[in-house]
Amino acid sequence: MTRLTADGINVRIDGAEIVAGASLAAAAGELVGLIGPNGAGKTTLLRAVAGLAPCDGTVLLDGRPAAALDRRAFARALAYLPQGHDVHWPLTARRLVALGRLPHLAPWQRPGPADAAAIDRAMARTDIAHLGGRNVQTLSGGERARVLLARALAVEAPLLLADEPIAALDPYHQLHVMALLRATADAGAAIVAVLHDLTLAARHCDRLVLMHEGRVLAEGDPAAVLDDGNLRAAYRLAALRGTHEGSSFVLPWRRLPEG
Amino acid sequence: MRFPRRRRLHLSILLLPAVLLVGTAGARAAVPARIVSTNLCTDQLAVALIGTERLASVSFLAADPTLSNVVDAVRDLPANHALVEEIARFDPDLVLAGAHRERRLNDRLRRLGYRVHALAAPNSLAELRRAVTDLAAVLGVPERGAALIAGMERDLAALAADAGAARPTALVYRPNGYTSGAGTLVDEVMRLAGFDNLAARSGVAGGGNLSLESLVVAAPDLIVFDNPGERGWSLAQRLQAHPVLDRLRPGTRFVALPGRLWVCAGPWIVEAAARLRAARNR
Amino acid sequence: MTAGAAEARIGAPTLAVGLVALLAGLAFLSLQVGQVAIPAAEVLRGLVAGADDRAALIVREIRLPRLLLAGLIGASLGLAGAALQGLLRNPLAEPGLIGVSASGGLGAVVALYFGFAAAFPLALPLSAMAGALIATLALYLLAARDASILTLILAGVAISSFAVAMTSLALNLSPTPYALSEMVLWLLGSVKDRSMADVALAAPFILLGWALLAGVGRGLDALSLGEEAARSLGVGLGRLRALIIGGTALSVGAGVAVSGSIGFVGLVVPHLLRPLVGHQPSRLLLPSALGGAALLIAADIAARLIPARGELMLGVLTAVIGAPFFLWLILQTRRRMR
Repeated sequence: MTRLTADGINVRIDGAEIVAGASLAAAAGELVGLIGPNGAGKTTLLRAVAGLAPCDGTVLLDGRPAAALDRRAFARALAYLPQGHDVHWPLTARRLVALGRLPHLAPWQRPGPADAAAIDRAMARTDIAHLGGRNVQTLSGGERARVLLARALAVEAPLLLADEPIAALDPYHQLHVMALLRATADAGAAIVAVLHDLTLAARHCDRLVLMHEGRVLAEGDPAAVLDDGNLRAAYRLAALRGTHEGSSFVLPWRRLPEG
Repeated sequence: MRFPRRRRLHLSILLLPAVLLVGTAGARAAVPARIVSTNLCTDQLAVALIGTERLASVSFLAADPTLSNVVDAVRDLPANHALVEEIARFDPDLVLAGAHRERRLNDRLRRLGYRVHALAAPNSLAELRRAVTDLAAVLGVPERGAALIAGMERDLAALAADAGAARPTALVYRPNGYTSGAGTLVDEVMRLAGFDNLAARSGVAGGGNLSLESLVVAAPDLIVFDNPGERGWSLAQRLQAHPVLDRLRPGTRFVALPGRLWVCAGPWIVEAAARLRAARNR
Repeated sequence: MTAGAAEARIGAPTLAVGLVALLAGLAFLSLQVGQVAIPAAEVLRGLVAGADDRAALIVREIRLPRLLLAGLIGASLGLAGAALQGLLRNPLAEPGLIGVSASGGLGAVVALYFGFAAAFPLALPLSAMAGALIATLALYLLAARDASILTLILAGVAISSFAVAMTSLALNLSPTPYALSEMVLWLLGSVKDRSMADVALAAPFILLGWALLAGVGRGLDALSLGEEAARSLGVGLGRLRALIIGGTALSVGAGVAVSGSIGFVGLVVPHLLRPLVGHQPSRLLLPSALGGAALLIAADIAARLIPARGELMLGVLTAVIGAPFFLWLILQTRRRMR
């Protein structure tokens, strides 16, 4: 079941075209990797789909136009995990994860057992149950990233958009979070994640969408998208390829000159 | 040059009337002919004593009907703001000023060679008498001063004679809760009008501040507002309209006396006393 | 803003009950204190039994309005402070510091001293609220994009200075002779000698402001994650800003209209209570209101007890506590940001 269909997305910021005619789709159970060089428009595209940036084009959630949903229904249908790990107040991890339940609560409704259960599930999946009472601002980068991811998972939305969820994490936690996203997709969610690491993208994602200068350059199976031609065009790289234990890896090896 | 003896005698006879003439002229010059008054209180007393003929200028406040009793009289007189250059322009031979301006104005004028008579605000009838007497002497009309005082005392005595036995309590209540206690002219006038000044009774000496709570507890028979007609709105005056004062009725009565009767001491305090007496008898 | 265990040590109901008890005790004390000594039994009788003797009059017409105003205004300042700090994600935001109170004071002075309020009584609170609204909007425009401490303080200084300067100008131009001496009352605030009429004038607007501020807790919680995450959680940021700006202008403005500008309450109270509610913005709102009311009532009691010529201004007392606290807060925050 297609959870997300975005077509013909154009985003202009201050007169400059950041995203032009881009499309993005994700089905239930799919982990889609959104990749491309810096400035390609990945974050902007994600934000536009999440309703955070004004854009032209259509966005359908479960076949229905996103614009038809009220704010809270939209928030229940789509969970967004932004870049950055800003937490402004020294809240406990559990309270922070609990914020993910806000779209499910009516204005004066108190959180109930269903909400507590969802929070527990999210914290268990991200392996932070033991950090529940800790001040988030004192946690390590990896722990904090997992707390914020748990917050997004607590929404239990059918669609999750994650902007660079593994940036600034050490390799151990990068693997951990990617495995987590994979498991979450397998459990039924549709996930679109912006990634810079080509190997992790290739190993865990069902499909890749490669962006370059605001347009979608290539889309589809990771092996096909990450061919030499696309890597040269988008990243100006030549890469080293191989397989190990059944999965392929793609290592950026050499910069290529212009043209 | 040596004159023959007979001529010297003639000259002395000729000189004598001249000496006499100069002497009396000098005596007449001692009575000031161009007077500048810089203070509302001296304005009013001067006008009461000598009219406006010899006055070159009065203070600008003399034209304010809420403060001055001589508004009509001074209509055509130029006003001054007690500034040295202004005063100098009138070239006065006498300047009347308030004693409280001693440092800022009076001293400077004296050093410039002007004759300055300073009036201190009287705190009692005795001081008022003395002030009027002194001022009348300086203005060259001592008999006028005496007559003014006599008239005032006669009217006040008539009031006092009419007093009756009961002495209801009264309080003056001013903006910001100020009142007049023992040792003030207001206190004396209130007593003459047949009232017992509660402020004096509670130990206030001179001008003092009375809290609203104390006022309610004191609950005088009469509360006197002596500043109606003041322009504009202020928190200070709002205190006099506090709703709790309304709740003191009917036990407490209120009377509003025009400010001009209290701001300066003078013969018009008889009117103030008479109005207080009328409020008592109502 | 302390590191370490952030779990609230006190449950929300316990904290609320504790603050209410404190408030009740202070309210009782406030009615006892005054120029005239009235025994406690008589105070209660005057309050409850509707007696009409002198003591009852004093309690109901002089001390009660004072208590009610201090409570209403203190609560407004605490609540608005907590809301503004949540919105701007900045612990230094509060109505006094950022010039909202001073601007409300300007509005009040213009209405009172130039005859508008005499012609039309509602002109007073409306004018004060308009002044407060303009300042809150200006501050939001100046400081929202760049929520750094420096920008906020500078914006607050600019707005505050302008409002104070205009207030002195207005008083200078006004007809009454008492205007200049009253400037102190407007700049430092007082609830002395206020009447139930003043309470009746301000209370409806204050309560309306509270109603607007009451519902912003969720949105402020979501804002802890940043504006984008908050929006993705379904929080309408425009509506949130409007509620906070409007609620602040209403409650703080109406309070300033009758009592003058009182500062620092909105800074001190939320800061002290924040650790007790686990730093969660939504759980800080009610305690800040209760704490603000308690603080201002306590300050009003102290103003009457401390021997001085006349009575101490309320704003002086809150400044004596608040200004050093503010300096300490700046130093602490700077250290953390380095």
